[in-house]
Amino acid sequence: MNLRNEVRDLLRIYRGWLRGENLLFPCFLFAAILLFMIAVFIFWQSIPALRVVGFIDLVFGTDWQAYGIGAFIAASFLITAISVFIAVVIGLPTAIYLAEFIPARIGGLLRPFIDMLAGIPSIVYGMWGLYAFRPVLKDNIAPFIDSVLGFIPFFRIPQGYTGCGALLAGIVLAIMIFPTFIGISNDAIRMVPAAYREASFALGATRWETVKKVVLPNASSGIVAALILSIARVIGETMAVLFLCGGGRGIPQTIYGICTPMTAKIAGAVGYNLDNPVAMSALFMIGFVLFLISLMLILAVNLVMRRGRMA
Amino acid sequence: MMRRKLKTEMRNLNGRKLEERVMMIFMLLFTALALSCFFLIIGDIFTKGLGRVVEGGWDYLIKNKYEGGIGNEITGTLLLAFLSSFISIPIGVFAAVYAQEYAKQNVITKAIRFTSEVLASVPSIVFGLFGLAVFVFFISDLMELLFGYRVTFALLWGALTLAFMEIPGIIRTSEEAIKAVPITYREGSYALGAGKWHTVRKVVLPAALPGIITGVLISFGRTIGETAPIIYTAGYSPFLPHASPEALFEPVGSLTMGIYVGYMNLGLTHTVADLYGSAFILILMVVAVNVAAQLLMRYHARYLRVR
Repeated sequence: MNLRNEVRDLLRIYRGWLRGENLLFPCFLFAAILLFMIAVFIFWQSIPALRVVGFIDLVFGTDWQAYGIGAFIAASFLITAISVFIAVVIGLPTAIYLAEFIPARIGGLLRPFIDMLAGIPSIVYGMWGLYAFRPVLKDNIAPFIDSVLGFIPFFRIPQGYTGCGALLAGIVLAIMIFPTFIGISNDAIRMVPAAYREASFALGATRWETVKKVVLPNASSGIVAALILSIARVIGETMAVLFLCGGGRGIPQTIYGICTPMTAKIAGAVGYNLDNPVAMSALFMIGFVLFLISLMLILAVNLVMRRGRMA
Repeated sequence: MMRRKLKTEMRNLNGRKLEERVMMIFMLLFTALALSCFFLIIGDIFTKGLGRVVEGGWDYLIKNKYEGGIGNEITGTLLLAFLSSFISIPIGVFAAVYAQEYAKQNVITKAIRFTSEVLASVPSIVFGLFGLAVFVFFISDLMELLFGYRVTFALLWGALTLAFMEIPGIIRTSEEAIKAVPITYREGSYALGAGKWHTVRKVVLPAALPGIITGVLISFGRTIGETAPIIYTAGYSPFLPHASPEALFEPVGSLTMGIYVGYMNLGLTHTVADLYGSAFILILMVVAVNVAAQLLMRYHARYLRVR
């Protein structure tokens, strides 16, 4: 009888705990440790590969048959470099133009057409890139680049070029990160105080000179942050590159080279390697490398923003 | 006399005006290029996809993949998105409330905010791998041990993985919404004798609700278009999900996976037109969600602004 009452009292206390207020901290804690859970789980799954192949051969080796993932890392870097280059070359003038040289009302009308690019699912980008853009690239753009820069072996079109490859992926990914880069750069430029511009005009500078010498240097930390965030988005992009990269083996030798970036390798190879635990574990290692790269990029963004704010 | 004055001024400008003209033309061209991308992509998907949907008619939207339609995929996408939102919204909003109202603002909370930022930029395929490792490998083994029941790909695993992806986004937008509630609201509530939780429930959250819902809608729209997290957690099924709880533990078809599977099987069971049809429906859904979010933001700005 005593025991029953005690148990009932205990239950009442524990059930009493189940008020809304007490659920807040567990949710917060869960969100806080989610990152560590992901890091730990993925690293744990990649340990077998580390044990079999060793760190250097795993990460820097380029032969997938020997479980080397270096080729995929190189491919990711190449595609990221191409797309960030294009995004900056086209996006920065766009951001400046929309912020400085267009009346605010028209700018507000045009900006959504760039922001809506962010809403298009990445697999749709892959489809568009493959079926609508690839022919244009193969028949018009690539020969143009070859004719202009073909004296450098890196820019010569390889045999049997179908259009799929690092360049196609790079261009389509650049379009994918326009909203990120242009949006954040635009915001950074608009945050430069009007007083700076007015002072520059008062000293007789033209609008372009003001942009070049006053606005851009002050917005530079924001633009660099936009750049780093764009890099983070491109490196993590999976479905679009899966459709467009061509699925090659080694390190790409030309800018058009078919290759397999890290994300596409994971997405494509899990299905084929379910029976091979070392290969699966190597794929998890790729995932862990991606995770580390994201971590370092966000650290870099925070450093840049902090330095910008102090300046 | 005016003309001579202008000529003198021009000579003293050292081509600066020319430089400005050239740069402006340059920037205008690139801006036009950037803006045209949206129309190029949407135009292509719409023209080829609309044709496929019109050709298929209502059957296309209702029948499942086995019978030649994408009804199961539309249902699956909505199921995944709603279920994952159902899981991620409470966790995300509660975490945001705790971070803003209850937690002391010290280094630990800053570190946790940093981890939330990192989570938001982790690639989606890494979440997919995490879901694979935790749900398909670990928990399925556990379930086989405990219940003798083997589950590989399941709607529940996909929804959970998507929920994990949504949580950082929901936390970020909810924190902004809660931060935007004027402190006078809280002070008034405390002055009337209300406790902290009561204030949060009855004053802060209702005031932050439009911002929170906008954030939820935006993340809902992103979840609809996700593929990588669900390839190896939810799998694909050409059939409609059952109308019973066991559907939670079975693979489920979705629009994005349908495009992926269709691409892998081009020529055998799918045509390029099929892919475009799915893409068209997918974009329609995303546009609908984004339009709803925009309308909500405009309504919020116009009618609920603090005077």
